[in-house]
Amino acid sequence: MTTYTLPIDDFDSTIPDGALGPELEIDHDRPPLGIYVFGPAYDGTCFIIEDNRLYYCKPKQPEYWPALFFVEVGAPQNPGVTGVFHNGQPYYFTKTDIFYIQGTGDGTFLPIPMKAKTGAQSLRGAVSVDGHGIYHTGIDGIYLFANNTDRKITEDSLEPIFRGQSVNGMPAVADMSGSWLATFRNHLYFGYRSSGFDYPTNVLVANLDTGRLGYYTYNDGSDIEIRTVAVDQTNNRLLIGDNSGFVRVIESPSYTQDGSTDISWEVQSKDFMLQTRRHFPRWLKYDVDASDATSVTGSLVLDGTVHQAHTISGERNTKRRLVEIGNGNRAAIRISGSGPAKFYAAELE
Amino acid sequence: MSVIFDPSGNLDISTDPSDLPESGSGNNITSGAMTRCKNLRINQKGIAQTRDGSAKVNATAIDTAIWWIEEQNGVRYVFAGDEIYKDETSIESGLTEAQWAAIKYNAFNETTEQVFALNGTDRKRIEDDDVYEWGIAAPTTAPTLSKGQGTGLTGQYNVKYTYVRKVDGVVVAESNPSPSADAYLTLNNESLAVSVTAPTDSQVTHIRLYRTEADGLIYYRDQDIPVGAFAYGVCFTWEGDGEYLAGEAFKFTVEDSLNDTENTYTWEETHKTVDADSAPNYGASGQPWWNENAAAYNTYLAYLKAQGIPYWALGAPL
Repeated sequence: MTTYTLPIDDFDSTIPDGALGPELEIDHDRPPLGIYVFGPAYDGTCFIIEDNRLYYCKPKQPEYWPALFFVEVGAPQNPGVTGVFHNGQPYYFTKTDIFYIQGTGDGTFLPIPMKAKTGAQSLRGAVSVDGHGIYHTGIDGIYLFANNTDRKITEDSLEPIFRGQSVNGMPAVADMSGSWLATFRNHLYFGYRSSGFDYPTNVLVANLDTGRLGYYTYNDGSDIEIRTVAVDQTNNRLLIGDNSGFVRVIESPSYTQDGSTDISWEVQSKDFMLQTRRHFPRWLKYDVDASDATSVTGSLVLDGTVHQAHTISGERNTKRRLVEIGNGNRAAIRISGSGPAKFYAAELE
Repeated sequence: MSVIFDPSGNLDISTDPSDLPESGSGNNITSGAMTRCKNLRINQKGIAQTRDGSAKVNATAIDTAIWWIEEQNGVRYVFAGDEIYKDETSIESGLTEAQWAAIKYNAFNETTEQVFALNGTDRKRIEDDDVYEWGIAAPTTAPTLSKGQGTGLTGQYNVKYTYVRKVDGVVVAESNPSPSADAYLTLNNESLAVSVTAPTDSQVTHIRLYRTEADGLIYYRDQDIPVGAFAYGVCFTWEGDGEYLAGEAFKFTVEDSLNDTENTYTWEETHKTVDADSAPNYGASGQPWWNENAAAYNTYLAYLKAQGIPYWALGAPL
């Protein structure tokens, strides 16, 4: 026997009144037309930000958003931008403020403004890190909100680029509206846009335990503009969506290049100054494993100018490399190259 | 005097490069502070090595405006341009080009995790390869009420209906209700026939009817019917194709579009109720059966005559 179906849209009710089922529910509204969704909270509540309202669904029922399930957060002219959970509680961000959403459900949610110096400048402008607090973006840097205090963590070491000044190959931040924050493998990633690009091409990477900073750019023949970022939890990898229609995996130990392009890199020391006299360097030694690198160059920088460059090859060949006669008040060592390499130390005398 | 630089300190472009920390030991000055540290991984103290590389996941570019990537169990849902991609294959298009955001979750009574996404204009629920609306819009057309052919209800009744998505027989999502019918319908030991508007949303699996009690104001669940899925069985495929067989010779029914029936006889088009107790010998047309079937009746009389049975013994007219 074959089974067929027919459309039907007619009922014929003969059910006695006493046999009818539960009462009709009228709170099965669709979600609001918000710009950001986050959740679920520990009780299954999801949140949507629309203008200056924070909507929430019925717990564990993400398709039911009763029309009156919302709280107004801040003033209408200061709409919400993003939200995160921290210590199990939702936090709501405008561009200038952080609100702690106190409460456990409908009727108890209450937005409490935090003593924060700023809010978040983009949809991905805030990220919660257990044990640290909430990292978030201001117009002038990255902040860490923790224990009800807000601290600008880029003040000490990265301030110039947030003030529009390009320093040592790191371009200035053009604007923070398209910037993003992400965490992956004990690192905080911050992507920012610089002049000449529509989306971030520069990534600051901070180790969440040591606080040590690095600066990354990606280039597979042209600069890669990173529009969005996501953590692939299943495959334990960091994904980005670029501005040319490609999804890419970055920070992958499986690859030593960006596509088929060698990764160019550089590191430079502080400017060494002697108390009472100038530097008269005679030689340098480089402790570099350049055996897999495409090229490595060691340079002596005197008073901000490269005075002597040495080509480095092989594995940790620390032979003495002579320097032409010269002197300067400030001496620095720069190692640069492309391809896989390890830099251990350099010495000048 | 030796100056030693090892990458054990911090990158600092804010402090004057000559004021960064250093330490002295004998004739050596050592510092780990860095004024440049580009594309180097410094997880291991004292070692700076080239950062890990990157690679394209998709060989062919999708829409260039990638708004959001949501990974679910190894599958990538990418919201780019006006489309949604699953593992870089488009599964939905024609959407508003705007910044998306998404979460992964499922209702308490559903076991399959979904992706819920929005962009200020579109609200979508993604289940595997299928993209649906997030939530179900309420029906906007009021039901139409009429008296049915059953019995049992007496009083004034009204009706609302909803659209429902069931998974394994469990209601996972239900819309808000439709408007009620314009007016209550009065029944007197009759049934309540309700005509509703079928949904256009493909995620809807059932229509759920809510009805008042007699003369009541509150709506209670009455019944569910599956959307487009009242099944019937046939023995032959041609029985179910919904078409007549080819050729007039095989056509033995006439379509009655008014009553939505296929009739073999013309009298079937007119429904009449005959009281069997008061007129036991009357046929469906309301006439005595011998008048309806005169030829058969005459054959019957001839048979009785041949058997020697008098007609009057049967009480039938001569």
